[in-house]
Amino acid sequence: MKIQALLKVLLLAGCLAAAWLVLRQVDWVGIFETERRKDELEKGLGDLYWEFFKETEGEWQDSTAMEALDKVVTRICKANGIDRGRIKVHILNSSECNAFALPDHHLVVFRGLLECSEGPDELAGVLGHEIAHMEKNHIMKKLIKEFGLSALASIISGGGGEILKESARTLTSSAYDRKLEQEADLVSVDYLIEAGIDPTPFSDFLHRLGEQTDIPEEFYWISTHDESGVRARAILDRIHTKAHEGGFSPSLSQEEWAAVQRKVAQPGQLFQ
Amino acid sequence: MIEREPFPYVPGEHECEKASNSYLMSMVVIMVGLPIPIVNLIASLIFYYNNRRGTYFVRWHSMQALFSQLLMFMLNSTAFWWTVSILFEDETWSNDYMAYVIGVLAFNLLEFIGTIIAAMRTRKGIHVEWWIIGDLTHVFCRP
Repeated sequence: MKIQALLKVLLLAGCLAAAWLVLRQVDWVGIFETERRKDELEKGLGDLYWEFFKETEGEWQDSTAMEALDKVVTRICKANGIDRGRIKVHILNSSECNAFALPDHHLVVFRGLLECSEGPDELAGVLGHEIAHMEKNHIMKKLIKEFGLSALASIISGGGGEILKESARTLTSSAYDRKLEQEADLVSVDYLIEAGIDPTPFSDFLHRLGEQTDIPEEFYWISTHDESGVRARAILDRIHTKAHEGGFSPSLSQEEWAAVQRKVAQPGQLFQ
Repeated sequence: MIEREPFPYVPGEHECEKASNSYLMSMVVIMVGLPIPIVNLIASLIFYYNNRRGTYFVRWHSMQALFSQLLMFMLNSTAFWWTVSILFEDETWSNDYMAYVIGVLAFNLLEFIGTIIAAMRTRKGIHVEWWIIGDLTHVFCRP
């Protein structure tokens, strides 16, 4: 009786496995067009979020700053086999020292980041960090985790105004979880090294940020923000373990950086 | 999925009701159990625990319901965590995943229909055994 029952259980397991093997021969991904739907959702969200930020903060379209950002982003992408054409770079007219990535490869830099960076390689590190978030699909993961797929879909269909505002705030105000932040930091270091840009200033930047942050040390583990000092040290460790040939060269020349700094000091015309 | 077998004795009215409830237990929590598969299993486990000293008819059907939920728990949990890893980790939508989910959904539907039929028949005092799961129940549940 026991052996008969065991044999039947094995038969059931075999039947289930066989059914799965047969079903997996069908191109379900093609039938349900999952990739196209995913891309459409990302594109729709990316455009909506960007429009939202453009309206609330105002876009800063300075050709000197845009050219400088474009040069750094292109250099990182080219050296790392990333499709530069997919990345849409924008500058927001805000004094906040921040940058963030939106769905569909929108890379948004605050004017304040150009001001608080002490050199072009610090900026390159932050840009690399945001490109890493894009390439590792962290943005959609974070949005799905915090708001759910159905809520995001409702934004696209025009029925989620409040969710749009709330999720937009989430994208700028809080960091990704520790694992994703650390991954983006380390991938950024790899990107910079491949592009021949010194990642040490990126570590310095985070270290400086860590000194300014008012997050108490005791809240380290429960804080959604990764502690910048620890991140800076992790970056330095990565630099030491990552072998690279040839020297580094600045991501922008002194003249180019000085020109950007002059423009940042006088923001000029706004495009809304 | 269901086969009728003779039972050693004719169950009383109160036994039929309790045995039928063991299947209904997994139906009641189905709305919660689909996204969180362990809920159905826990419900069936609690029901079995409460009736472990009941009559043979009640115990037998509680255990059959429990085994069916155990099987569904394994299948649904795999689907659940596979989905989670696609949404939050580095897994991607693949034909393997879609085939598994479609297969599991079909199996859930079969199990759902089977559960309704089993609940209705046991309520009338008719003994029903599910293929394979019934055999397994006989191994573990003695008169």
